[in-house]
Amino acid sequence: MVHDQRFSPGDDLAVLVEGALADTPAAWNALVTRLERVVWKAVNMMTYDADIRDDAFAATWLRLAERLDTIREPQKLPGWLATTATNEVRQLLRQRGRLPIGLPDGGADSSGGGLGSLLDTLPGADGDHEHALIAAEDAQRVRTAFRRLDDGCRQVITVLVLTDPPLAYDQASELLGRPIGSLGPTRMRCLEKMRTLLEHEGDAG
Amino acid sequence: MTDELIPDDDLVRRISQAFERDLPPIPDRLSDVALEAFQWRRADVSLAELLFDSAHEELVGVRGAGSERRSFRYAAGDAVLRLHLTASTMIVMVEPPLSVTCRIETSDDGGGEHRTDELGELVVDAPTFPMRVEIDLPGGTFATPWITG
Repeated sequence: MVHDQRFSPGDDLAVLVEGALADTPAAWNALVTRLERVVWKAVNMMTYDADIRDDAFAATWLRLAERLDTIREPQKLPGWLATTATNEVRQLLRQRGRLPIGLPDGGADSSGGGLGSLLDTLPGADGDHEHALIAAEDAQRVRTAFRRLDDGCRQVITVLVLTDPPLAYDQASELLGRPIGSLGPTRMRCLEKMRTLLEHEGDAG
Repeated sequence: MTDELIPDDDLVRRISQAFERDLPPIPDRLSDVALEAFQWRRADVSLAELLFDSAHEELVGVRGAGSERRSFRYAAGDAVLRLHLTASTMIVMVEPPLSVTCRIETSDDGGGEHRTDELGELVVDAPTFPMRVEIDLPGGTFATPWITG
């Protein structure tokens, strides 16, 4: 790949978007490098179905290339990408008739994560092991509860997690296809549902 | 009340951290796909506006998901473009009827260039997803948004 010195992933998003709109591949490459992890995390939060996760990731970038000239606030591109990625996952889940929930932690999850692999690789003293073990158990509990949410709630929370800076309500409403007045109550309802699910998972708080 | 969707909740942060800690690395092939998406950007082509997607209609009040057939309708300038997809074929219809050049584009370069007949119709093998259709109309070239599956 030829590197264009004019653009780097750390540049202002407005500069990168402007460069991509001017058909400069280096600006696009810098955008991808900067933001691909946002998209990746969004699709991983929405589904553990590897086919759908990968296809939604790819579709999100095609969608950005297609809609780049409609991005009104480049600073909010992370939120746009996260929301678009969650929409793509939901669309693919429905089109393919797949269950939204994937493999459980510790299963043949392509993430390669999980408690077993963590314990195999932990460095440090016993105290570090114990601390890491507790953190890993907590993370697993949270993920288990999260994947018991309906995909609408998972989408809203995923967008909340990944929109930095936050989306304006009107923008979130447009991207999520939800009435603007429903966003606040939906967010509250989904987080409350998550707290209830965590309690069922034996969450200590 | 704020006018932004702010993730100000400890629970939201906890969920974020739970997924962050075991997030797998992004496969190189997917990073490549993201980089290559730029080649499909066509500043000289107008985006056709989606008017109808049968998938949206079928989801309302219908148990189950997925369909062997799917239909789309788009506004392309003064014309309307219809796509009917089955497992084996795709029918393209341009209204009013026009014989025009029509390109089927798939992200794996598996598409091709065709021409609608005098009735504005064309039948091709069902393309792979993601795909889009580009047509040369008298008022300019239009492309559908990517159809991803």
